[in-house]
Amino acid sequence: MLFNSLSFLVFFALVLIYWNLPVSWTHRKRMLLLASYIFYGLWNPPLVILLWISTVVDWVAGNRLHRETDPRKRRMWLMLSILVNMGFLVFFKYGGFLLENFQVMAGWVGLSFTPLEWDIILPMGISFYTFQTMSYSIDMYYRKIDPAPRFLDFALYVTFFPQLVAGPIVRSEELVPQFSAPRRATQQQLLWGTFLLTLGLFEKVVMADVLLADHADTVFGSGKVLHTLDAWTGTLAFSGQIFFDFAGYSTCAIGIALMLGFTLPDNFRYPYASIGFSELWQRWHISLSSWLRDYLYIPMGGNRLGNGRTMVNLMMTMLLGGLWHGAGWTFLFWGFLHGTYLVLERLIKRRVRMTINAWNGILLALGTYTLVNITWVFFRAGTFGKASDILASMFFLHPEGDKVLDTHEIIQVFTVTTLLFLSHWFMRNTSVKAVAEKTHWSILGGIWAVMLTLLCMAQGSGEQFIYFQF
Amino acid sequence: MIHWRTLILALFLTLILLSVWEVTCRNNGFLPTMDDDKYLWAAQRDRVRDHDSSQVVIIGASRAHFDFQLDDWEDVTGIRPLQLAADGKSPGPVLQDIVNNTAFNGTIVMNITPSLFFIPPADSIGGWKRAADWVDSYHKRTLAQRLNHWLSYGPQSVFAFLTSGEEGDPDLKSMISTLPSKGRVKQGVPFPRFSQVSADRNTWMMPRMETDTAFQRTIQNAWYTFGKNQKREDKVIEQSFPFYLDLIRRLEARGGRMILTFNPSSGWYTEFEAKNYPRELYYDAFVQQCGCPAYHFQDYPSLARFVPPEWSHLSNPDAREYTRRILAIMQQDGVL
Repeated sequence: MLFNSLSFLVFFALVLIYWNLPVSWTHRKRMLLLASYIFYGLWNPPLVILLWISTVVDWVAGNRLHRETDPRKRRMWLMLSILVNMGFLVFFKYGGFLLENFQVMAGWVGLSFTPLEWDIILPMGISFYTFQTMSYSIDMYYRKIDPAPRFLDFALYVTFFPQLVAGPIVRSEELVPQFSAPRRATQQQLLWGTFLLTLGLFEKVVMADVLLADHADTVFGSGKVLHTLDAWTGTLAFSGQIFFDFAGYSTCAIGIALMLGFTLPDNFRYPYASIGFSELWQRWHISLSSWLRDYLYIPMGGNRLGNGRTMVNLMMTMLLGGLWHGAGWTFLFWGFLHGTYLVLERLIKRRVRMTINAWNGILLALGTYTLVNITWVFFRAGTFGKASDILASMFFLHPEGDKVLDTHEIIQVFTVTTLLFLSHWFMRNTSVKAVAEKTHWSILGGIWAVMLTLLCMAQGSGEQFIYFQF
Repeated sequence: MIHWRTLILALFLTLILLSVWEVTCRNNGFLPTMDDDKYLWAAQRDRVRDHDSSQVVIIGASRAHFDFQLDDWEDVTGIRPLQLAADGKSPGPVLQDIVNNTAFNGTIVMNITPSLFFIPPADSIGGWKRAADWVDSYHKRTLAQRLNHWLSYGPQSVFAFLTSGEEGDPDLKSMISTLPSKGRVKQGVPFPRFSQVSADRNTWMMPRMETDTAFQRTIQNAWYTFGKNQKREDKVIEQSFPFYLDLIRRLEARGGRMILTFNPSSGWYTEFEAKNYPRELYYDAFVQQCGCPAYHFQDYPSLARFVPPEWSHLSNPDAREYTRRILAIMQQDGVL
């Protein structure tokens, strides 16, 4: 089910009504769990079974990890959890990619191998919920957390519908304790959650789908060698689209959870105003970057084993981060570019000391944003051939390239992305909530009305969120 | 801190803004209509029943969609047909789907619009692919999409501002896409909406088309632009005839019936079709090989008098009359 759909509005209204009925806390949690399965199952009912398997395996593994003292057995239980979750991921997400590459490698050694067509559906949000449940087992293994007190609480942690299919990836210590004591949203949580839901939908439906998506699609789907202006416009459009799409989803998720009385962590903090890439990854998809940091980068040694090893660890982490996003070499290369940027930034920072002020800060942020855009080309293009064509066009190598966008479309994309960049810059040290609280209620009401009106006028054609495919 | 009064103000202002927008849309000629998209089509496709010889299904392109009026059809025959004709799409994938994936043994009325009928059955052909995509989408739609579509009936039947999906419509994306061009890229020919659609896909031409000659010319210009560079390629006969004939034989073998129609065109469109799809080589030859009952508007004086205002589709009053007349002929022949 998509947040930007009528069915979700009806579904959520029913959930909210039941949630606020005078029934026991356990009953309300059961209803929330059932609602979460319905939310997921309305897309593809049989794939709910994967959620159940993941839930049961990690619940059992977690409890055994808590009780078991034998290190060998504890390792075995951890491996079981990781194998099941990674097994799902590898089979459903990377199976086709692995088979395709095996076929190519077999060809290198002269073996002719034609696999059957890999026609396996990718379960929505599998990368999110498998990472979430694995974090539970790993934390249990290191005895960082206590086990969830009840199976119902754990099943809700795995399946909680606001963040099930596209995050934020929540740690158990952030969510499970919230299921312990009865809760309903306070008046402030309800109002603020409603505002965030409106804002998130506005970002997705109006900003991403109406204002940017078509132009990115036109450029990346043109199949032509493009004029510089068109290549830049398409890339900027995609950079805006993916931010509004994904941040919009996270904002909706946080708002919806808040309307039920739950708090989810921030997933985006104005990433396009980042000065450098280490800051970018503290602001973009925070729940994934912190997951990769805590469960990959630090266990590999992090920055504790010398400079050389730190750089290798950074690169490995970003390569896997790229692969997390998609089963393709272009995603891996996207991760490689981010790893390279992080390594270079680290080298530069050791040699150059600079005091950041507003003037050099915005230039450095603009530079970072420009480099981020280069990485988006590989993320969006799908093939290296297309990516290199777009990049060559962006850097003036095709002055006679084809024009595929009209002047008003170029103006539209540049205006939206410039405003996006500036808004991130001016908001980088504050939050929507802080700004909203300082705004006069009538002005805030007016802004809210404009968002609601434009949402109704845009109607939302039910475009899927980009990150669902991950 | 957010106050309740902030939310109340937001809702109040939204109500006012949307009311103003609704009135503006209605003043500009928009009335509530269904979005004739793949979900609306799928809802009708879902109603195709197995082993019901009384059911009638209409397939074809937009001429079958505009020209056959379901209310009049039901009035004359007592049966309301399913409207599966789709604008700009070949009937081929739809017929293939019904024959291959159902046990339907009722009557199919298939209208022939030559440029969308006599085409190779291949996804590389636009008119074919668009229809194939809808069929594919019908088989793959999720429960959430079905629920979402069902819920959209109410709002779409009440608010004109929800009209969307075609050029010039009042939804945000359509409005932005029609901002004035500065000529940097070649613009497509204007092709605004000229129909309204009900929940069961009964379609009628907007009344404005009957009298607004400029509007007529806009659509005529679109037909001319779409067809002017098309060359006659008789090899499509070898590709399309066997495809349809095989499906029709299989339909008939299980007790189903096929009725072919060729609905009116006028002006340049008639000349274009006569030149690129000469009747004796295409329509007549197909009808002869098919052996099905077939009704070409030119063969019946009572049908030949209808003149589509934009060359390809009948106005609503004419479509209603045309439906009644062609059904009377079919009934006279005992095929319905």
